[in-house]
Amino acid sequence: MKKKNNNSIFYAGVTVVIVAASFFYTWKSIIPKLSENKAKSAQLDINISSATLKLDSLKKAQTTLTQLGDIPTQLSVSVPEDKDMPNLITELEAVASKYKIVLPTITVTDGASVAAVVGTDTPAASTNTVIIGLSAPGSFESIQSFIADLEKDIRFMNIKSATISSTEDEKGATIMSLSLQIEAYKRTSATPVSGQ
Amino acid sequence: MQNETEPAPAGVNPNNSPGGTITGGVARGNPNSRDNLIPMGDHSHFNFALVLAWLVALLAILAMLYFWWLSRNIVDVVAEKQSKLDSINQQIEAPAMVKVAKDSNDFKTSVGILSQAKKDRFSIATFLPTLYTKVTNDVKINSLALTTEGKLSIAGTTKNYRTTADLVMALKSWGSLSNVDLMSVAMMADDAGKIEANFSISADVVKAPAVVASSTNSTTQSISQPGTGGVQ
Repeated sequence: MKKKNNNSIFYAGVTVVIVAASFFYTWKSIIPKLSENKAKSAQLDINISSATLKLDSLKKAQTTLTQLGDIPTQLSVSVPEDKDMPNLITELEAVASKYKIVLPTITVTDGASVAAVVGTDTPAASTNTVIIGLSAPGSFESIQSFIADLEKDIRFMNIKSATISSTEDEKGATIMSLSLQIEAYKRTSATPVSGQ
Repeated sequence: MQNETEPAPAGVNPNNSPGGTITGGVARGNPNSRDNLIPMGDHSHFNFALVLAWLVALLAILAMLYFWWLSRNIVDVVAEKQSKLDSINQQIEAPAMVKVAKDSNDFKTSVGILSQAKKDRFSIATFLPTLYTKVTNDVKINSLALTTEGKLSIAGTTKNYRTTADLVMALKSWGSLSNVDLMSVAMMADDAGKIEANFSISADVVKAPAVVASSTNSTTQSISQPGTGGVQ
């Protein structure tokens, strides 16, 4: 009877050890890894969902851009990546010469540098603008046509202010003079460029 | 308690257990054997506890195996998802898609800038000819200044005060201007000695649809090539 009791204790002990070991191993090793992987899986689900959305959006954008044809290209000319000085000056000169207007002065300033100047009187200047100042003498008709063409130009420009004045020369002929402050646009908000 | 080494007499319950277990006498053929004299009531009680204990142990092991299987399973799932994510990211980072993303962003930025700029636009080219229809022949405008904020100022000469007043009345009656104000008017002699009325008028432009800009015409102009030199 005593031997059998000892056996019972032994088996009970073995059972307790097995249960305890199983519990301990499950609790300390398997469950944390399981939780960690579950969290990782949930995060991956979010990432996959986000990446899928992005990919779908890109595919849709690709289709839309294809359907739009030349419009994106034209827009990139209307609002170039940077201020694109050479093309801007050439364009202004081309429009002016169309109406036999000579442009004695053209100043081009980066809107960012204007905006950076404290106390500036140019509140409209923003980081993605290019401020152009020009003056031009000419007849009223040519000045008017010049302004109209500037407003229709593919390079989008807003005339912020215009001053037209007339004077008479020695012979009594009227000379009109135009002074314009124009705002053109660019996509990048570049750091202020000095000396422009 | 009866000594286990002593065989119990036939028909006597050695433990006096309530179950009233019948025990046998000395085994046949092997009178010295004591093993078959273990009380049956003790034996059944021991078996039940042992089976229960082993069942608990088995359940514990099964539970552990179940969690282990879950863990292994989710590792595979994670690996599969990671692979899927990598595949999608690879597609996103392909040069063609990078270009699409850039073009798309450029397009969006351009449209945003243009729509805001168009909102701010005030078409001087549309406004000027209409303004000049309000000016009579005997008025000479020496200077005209107009800003997109809608401030208009005109300075000029007329024959007399009456003509100046007529001009102011004409401008006031025009719906595109408000706050028309005759800032100054004075009769003065010009260089030739002729007496004229010099005036100065200010007004606010009402940005009605009639005088607000039309859209850009993207087909009439082309951009010249760079390289013409920088005019500062």
